Amino acid sequence: MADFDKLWAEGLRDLAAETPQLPQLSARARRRIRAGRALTVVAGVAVLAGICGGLVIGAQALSRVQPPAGTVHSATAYVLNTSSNTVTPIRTATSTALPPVKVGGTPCAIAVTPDGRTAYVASHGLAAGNAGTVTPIRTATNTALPPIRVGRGPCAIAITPDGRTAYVVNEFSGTVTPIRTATNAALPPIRVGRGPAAIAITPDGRTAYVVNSASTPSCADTVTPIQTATDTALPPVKVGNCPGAIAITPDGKTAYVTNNDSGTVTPIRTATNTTLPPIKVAPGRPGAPGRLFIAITPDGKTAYIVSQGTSQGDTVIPIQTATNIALRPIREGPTFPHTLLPVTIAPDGKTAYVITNPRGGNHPDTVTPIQTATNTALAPITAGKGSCAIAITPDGKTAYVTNSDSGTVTPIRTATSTALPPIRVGHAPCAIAITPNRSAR
Amino acid sequence: MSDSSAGDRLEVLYLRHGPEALRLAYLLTGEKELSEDLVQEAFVRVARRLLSLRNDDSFRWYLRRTVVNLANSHLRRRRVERAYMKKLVSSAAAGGVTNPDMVTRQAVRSAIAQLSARQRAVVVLRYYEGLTDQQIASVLGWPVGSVKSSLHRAAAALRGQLAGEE
Repeated sequence: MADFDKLWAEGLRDLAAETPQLPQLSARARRRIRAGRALTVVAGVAVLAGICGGLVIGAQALSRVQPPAGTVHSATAYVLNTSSNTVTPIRTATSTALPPVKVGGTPCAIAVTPDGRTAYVASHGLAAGNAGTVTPIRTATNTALPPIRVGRGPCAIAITPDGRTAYVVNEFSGTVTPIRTATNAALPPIRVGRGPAAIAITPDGRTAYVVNSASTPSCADTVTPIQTATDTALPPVKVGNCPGAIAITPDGKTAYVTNNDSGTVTPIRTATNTTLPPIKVAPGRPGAPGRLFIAITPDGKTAYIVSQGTSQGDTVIPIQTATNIALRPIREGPTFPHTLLPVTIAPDGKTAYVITNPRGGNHPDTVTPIQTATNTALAPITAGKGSCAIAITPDGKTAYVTNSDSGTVTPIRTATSTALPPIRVGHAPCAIAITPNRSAR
Repeated sequence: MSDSSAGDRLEVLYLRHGPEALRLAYLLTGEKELSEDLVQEAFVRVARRLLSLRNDDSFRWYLRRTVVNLANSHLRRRRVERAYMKKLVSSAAAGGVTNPDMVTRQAVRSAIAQLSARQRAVVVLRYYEGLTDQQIASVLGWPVGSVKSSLHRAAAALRGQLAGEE
């Protein structure tokens, strides 16, 4: 495999050699600096788009929650527009976008309370120095409540199954902020490890597991369990190198943590917080940009691992949770198309969906369904450009795919694997969560 | 700070950090005139607030961040990415080279040209500026996960481009 780092560096050096000479600082620029006021020459406020990783954890946890009994209202999908600093609600019954709701800068992660009444949106902020915020949105009216200040760089959020507490992971502060949903008050932050990036809560709500991920060149290698009754961090559990994603089996007995640099998955017994031997799913690749993602089927029998960036291309590897044995990688043709993103599993567990890009470059991304019974890939469905995340309605009928480069969301009818016309939302949509069907009150 | 000493400081800062900022702007936009405008604008914005900063590294950091943000915002507004792509690819093809090493370089150039503005920003900050994932996240105001995703997509694009050249 070619040394990509070297190729990029050489290519960029070649290009940089063509840079023009630095012109004199213009008299106008000098005047403007002296005057101390901005005249916009080139552009207005610049906010960049992000493709959030690890953010669907909360949404996945949520999709397992059963809707309460009663008169059922249709679900609403909430799409985070990373560059517009808004959230677009989509009525799933009609696949129509409602007016956007304003939130804090660079919204990055979302989780909805199990009763479906409130969506919590974590906004990362614009730089490492800024505090992040969490904006609660009342789903009945789609109105934003006052933002709650949390730590720096919040980009993962999970809510306890009883809906009482939202845990917000502050990537740059190395902390987790609990928010009491009854009062929307932030409690004192809980210190975890460096660069925490993902969180998952056990189905009994007793323990939240936070993955300390940091970044290259010095990766963390721990997971911090938090006792939710007391909001205290327990001793960190050592896993593999550069852990990234986490998923917990529906019975709550095992948490699976993916280790990006080791190319392994570490099972953690939640009863004792001890690890089992790591499961090899990919070659070790220290510092490689590719990552491992994970999702577990609702019956808890299989964990699907998406492995990016190996020399063989990207693959999807099923793990039998009963034996912790990795099965044969799932391929489509000679290999799996490149650029796989977090795997999402339909509520009935029959199909797993991954985002792929068989054609590369500027071509639209596709969604490839995988039949979990046979672990075979079906024909890819065309979505939009820069597809980023998938969420599936509680009835399993529609999958919504956010397309960050197109500024759209593509609904996919799961029964026929057909894409419906894209829904226009804001700039750089990425994270998405769908409310459970709500009972009327 | 008196007017003249502020003027001197301005000159020093511009000469010290301007060339690097200009290279960054050029790599991000592929347009010479535009990159000159972007750097002047970025310098005005940063200098208005931070001329008195004693720490050169901070100035450099804010200037870099402003250049990246302005470039991306501009590309998004004007949709000039395709123009960038065409220009770079055609200038690469004009070389008409057969040396295998040069063929690879041409493929890399095409791959850079075909990246989205966001992916290009991440690739330039990583492989030209030598920043870590965390530092790139900080410059762009993105989560680290987004940086990694963009790097992965860029690597996939390069892999595809190299496969096409073989």
